[in-house]
Amino acid sequence: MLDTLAQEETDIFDDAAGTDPAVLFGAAYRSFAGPVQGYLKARGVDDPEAVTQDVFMAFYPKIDGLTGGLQGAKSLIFSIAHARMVDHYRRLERRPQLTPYDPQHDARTTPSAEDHAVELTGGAADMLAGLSEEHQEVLALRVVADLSIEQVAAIMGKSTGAIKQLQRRALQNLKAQTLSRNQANHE
Amino acid sequence: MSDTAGSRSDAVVDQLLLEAELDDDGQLRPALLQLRALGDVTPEPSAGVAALLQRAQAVQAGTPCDAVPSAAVPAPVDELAARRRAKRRVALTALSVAVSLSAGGAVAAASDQGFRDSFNNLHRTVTSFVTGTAPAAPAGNQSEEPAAPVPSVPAVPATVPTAPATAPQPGQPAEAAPSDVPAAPAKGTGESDAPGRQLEVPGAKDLPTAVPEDLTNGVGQQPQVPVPGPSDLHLPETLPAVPLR
Repeated sequence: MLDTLAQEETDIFDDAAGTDPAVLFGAAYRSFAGPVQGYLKARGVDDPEAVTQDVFMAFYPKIDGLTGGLQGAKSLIFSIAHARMVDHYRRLERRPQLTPYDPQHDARTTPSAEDHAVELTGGAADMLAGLSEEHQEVLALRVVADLSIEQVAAIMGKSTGAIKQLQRRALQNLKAQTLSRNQANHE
Repeated sequence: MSDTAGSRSDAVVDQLLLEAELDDDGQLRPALLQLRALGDVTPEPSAGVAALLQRAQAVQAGTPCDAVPSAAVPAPVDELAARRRAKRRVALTALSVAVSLSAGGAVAAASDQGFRDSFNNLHRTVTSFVTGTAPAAPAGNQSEEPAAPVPSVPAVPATVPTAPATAPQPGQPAEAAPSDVPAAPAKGTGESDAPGRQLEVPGAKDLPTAVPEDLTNGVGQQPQVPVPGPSDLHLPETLPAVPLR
């Protein structure tokens, strides 16, 4: 889907001068709404769909000063999404941890076969759960958001070398984690 | 469509594995593809985003922009900046109100003679309390003092009694005061300090100099008090009354 639209959106952004910001906004939304939502989902943000809308509403007033074409818009959008994600986790830190008793979350029961099956197939969002913060962030930005190493470095405020290193370690950890998870599932 | 998307995802994942120099052993690749599939679903636009998208479609279709009411497009607001501005404004308002209130209060207090007097009275009361004298004593001090020191002056020189008689006149004590050594502190501290100092050193020899200072400071009633003073030149016998204070 991205490929079929990509050329059209790139054209729109290439001759952006004089174009109505709403057109650029539409092109950006069609191109990046899915990846933004996927990124937020992978990072475990509550209600990723609503936050995606927020990200694009915050992106709209900044279209006027936008440079760099479609890639520039992508960088900006994911920078906003990254900031929202950071906000989310800061808010979580400040919030007192209230855990009312919920029998459904009581771990002292035997897991159902259905849950087990769902976990096998649909656990993509939790796939990064065991990794460290930075490893999660690098993988989400590189894989889900499809950003280049330079863009990821700019968003995370690190050098490209550091990002490469982080990425390699994140992939190694993910591999180890996937292996252990698969083994646990097979047992 | 899924084919092109799938091929692009493959390309991205392959490139990532290549960059990380990890051999694909069939474990990591499916996991990354699964992770990447998270971004394939475009969310349903919310009301605000839908309005903007609708406008974009109208512009692209060549419809004049007016066809889509611009009011439908909510003006995006920067909530954080607005909140910061509001907070700053509240702080500025509070500061300016406080400054103007204190300035007004200071001017009113400075221009009010009654306030200054009451302040002096308060100071006097506090001083007398601290020095261990009854609060009523300071009031009596001022009336008695002219009588007490005046006799002490004639006690030493015989010709002096004429001088205290003329002392209550405003002009002469002012000239006489600078000639006396202890006159300087009495000038600087004003009326409020004078009683306290006199209380501390009741029998000192500088008392006579301090007294004329007070008399000149008194507005007009006090000069009348010493006038009978010199006439009662026998008052030195009443000096033991001073320690009553």
